[in-house]
Amino acid sequence: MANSTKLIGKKMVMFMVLAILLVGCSATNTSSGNGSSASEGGDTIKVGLQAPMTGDNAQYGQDMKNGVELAFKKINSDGGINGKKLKLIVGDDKATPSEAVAVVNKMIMNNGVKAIIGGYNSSPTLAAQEVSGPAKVLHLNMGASPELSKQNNKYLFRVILTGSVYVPAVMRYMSEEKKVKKIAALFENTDYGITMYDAAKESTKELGVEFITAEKYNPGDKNFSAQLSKIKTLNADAVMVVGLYNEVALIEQQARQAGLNVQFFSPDDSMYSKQLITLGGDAVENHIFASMIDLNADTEEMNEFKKLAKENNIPAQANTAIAYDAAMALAKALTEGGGEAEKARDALANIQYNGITGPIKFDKNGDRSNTPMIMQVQKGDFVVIKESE
Amino acid sequence: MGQFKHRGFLKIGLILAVAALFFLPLGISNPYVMYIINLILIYVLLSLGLDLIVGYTGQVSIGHGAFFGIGAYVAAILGKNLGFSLWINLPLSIAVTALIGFAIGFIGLKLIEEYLVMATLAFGTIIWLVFLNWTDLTGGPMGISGIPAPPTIKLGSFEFPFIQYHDYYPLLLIFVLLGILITRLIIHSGFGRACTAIREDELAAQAMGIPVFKTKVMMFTISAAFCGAAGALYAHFLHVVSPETFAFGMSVTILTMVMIGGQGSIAGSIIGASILTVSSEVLRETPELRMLIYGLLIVIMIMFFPKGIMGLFKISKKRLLQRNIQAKKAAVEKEGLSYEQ
Repeated sequence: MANSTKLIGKKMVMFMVLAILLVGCSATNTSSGNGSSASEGGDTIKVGLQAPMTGDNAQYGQDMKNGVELAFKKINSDGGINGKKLKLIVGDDKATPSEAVAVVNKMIMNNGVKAIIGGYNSSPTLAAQEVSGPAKVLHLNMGASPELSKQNNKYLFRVILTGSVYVPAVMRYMSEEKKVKKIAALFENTDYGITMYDAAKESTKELGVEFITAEKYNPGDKNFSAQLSKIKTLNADAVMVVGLYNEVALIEQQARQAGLNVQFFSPDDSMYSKQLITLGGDAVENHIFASMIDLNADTEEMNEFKKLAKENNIPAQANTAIAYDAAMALAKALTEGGGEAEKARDALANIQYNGITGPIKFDKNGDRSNTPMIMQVQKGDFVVIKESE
Repeated sequence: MGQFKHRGFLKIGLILAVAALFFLPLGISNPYVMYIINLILIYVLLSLGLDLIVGYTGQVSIGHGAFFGIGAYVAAILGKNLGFSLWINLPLSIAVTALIGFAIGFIGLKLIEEYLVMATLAFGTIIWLVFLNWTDLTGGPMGISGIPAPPTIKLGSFEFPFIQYHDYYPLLLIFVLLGILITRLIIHSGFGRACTAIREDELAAQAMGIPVFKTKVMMFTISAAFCGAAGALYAHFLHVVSPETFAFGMSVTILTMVMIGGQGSIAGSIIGASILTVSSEVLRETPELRMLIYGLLIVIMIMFFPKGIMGLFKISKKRLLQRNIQAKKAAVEKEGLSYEQ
């Protein structure tokens, strides 16, 4: 008797679990269903931010969020998009591909975002655009990898320059001005690092320089002494580091300790952050990189941006400015698109807009055609050492 | 007699409920909810697998995220590079994880308790580092994306393509039901009871003639195979794998699902997987607080409900039964008769 009661009890529990599962599922359905229908019928347009908000790259995400929020505040106070207000949904991609796919999925399907700004890192963006492309969601990313130009995704646009523009520019400068011949490469083992190194290698023949070694590290690594001591024995003239500021700051500090006193340079403006100097201190002095933006430039757009940033108590960082530009360009496209995804895409593809980062227009791959300038860290500030051509 | 009838009704109810589960997508219009339900199903498979070794055999492993990863990467590599479909990759993933599970079990299960935990932890870390650093094969930190969807299933004139998340649900549900069935068959078999005996008292089990080591290794292998199957399904469902998914955190997550749901209980696995998956998705809204709240939730659960939610059910059921008996006793005593059960 006791046995059969037990069995019945077990069955009952099973049944209850199934029932709970069913009820739970339908409950989440109704609540989220309401959420998405409100966005369609209501007076807001939702835009997602796909960026690293936690982890090693969180500062990049925070800067981007500041920029987009600043732009949305301005747009909304100026009347919004055809009378509709812009609303930002923040999605943390943790700078990893699978999280990026998950969070972009969520923003598109559950929040009903019409466009996505981000991500910052190339690999997560490459994975996430496979979700946003088929869903016809505009995706304005800040990845540098040349691979992002080859995706055949009509909805993918890049608001920074492609690596195949940054890399030759900085390589040319190093070869012509700094007269380096033998370069050691140290890059992060991601789409970004690998493709930037490949692009750099392509430019070597024409310039008469050579890479004497190619060392890799994984994002999040803290100790680079193995790679640095190898580079030291090879007597390189300069070291090209492709990575983000937190690792680059560590690399240059450890290079100093290892007695490796050569010129360090990076291909793009992922270096352009006060954090690089805060973390790296004296070690990052003289670091050279190519950039599409100069925060000290005296242009009308830059001054307006800095004024806005100051009013809202936001640090005016390079990535904040770039994200601000992306949001402003997107708003213009959404206004012209009038709520239709394809029209907004066409509007963005043909956009003519003067942003903080210079004129914004996209080629058929969704890339910008601006030319970068060369910058250097001098006395704890970023100084232009060669203007863009 | 009445009892028998009662059980018959329950059985019919159960079948109806399972049948109803297949029609669940009809009531859900939001694909994101469907996506989460599919994720839950994959995690149910994982926690069922881990529960076999933790709940039923009493051996704690914090390396099962690695088996999940191996299954996923095998499917991803074969699917992406050789164009194999899910139907080839799934058995291969299961075979590979079972083989590695056997090897790890063979080495690790000679160790006892905390040493086994350490061994599985080391194994999980090694596998994660392999995923991260074998760039040519696994794509390193970039992972592998563009894993093909399962091929369209044709049944006569009916076609079931795999495009939306709704399409994956029946497939995953079938595998979860299969997993539940296999788990039930195992735990109610002589082998399963031998495992329970080992959990209760290893020495006593050995004294009774149970081949303790062999039984443990076998269960560990089956447990790993469950995770391998979940991995293959995950890779073909999400179309992307990257190493951080299968880091130490995943092993802990699966273990927490088992702990929160209640060890040694199928329903517990389902509840644990559901709660943790849903809460982790809900907390996406506050990325900065996500891990904090998630961690707090786990601490509270472990501190106040160490036997999990199913443990709570069991305790309250016991109390209810006792109360019934006492009430009966009281009633009987009142009538001045002796109590018989």
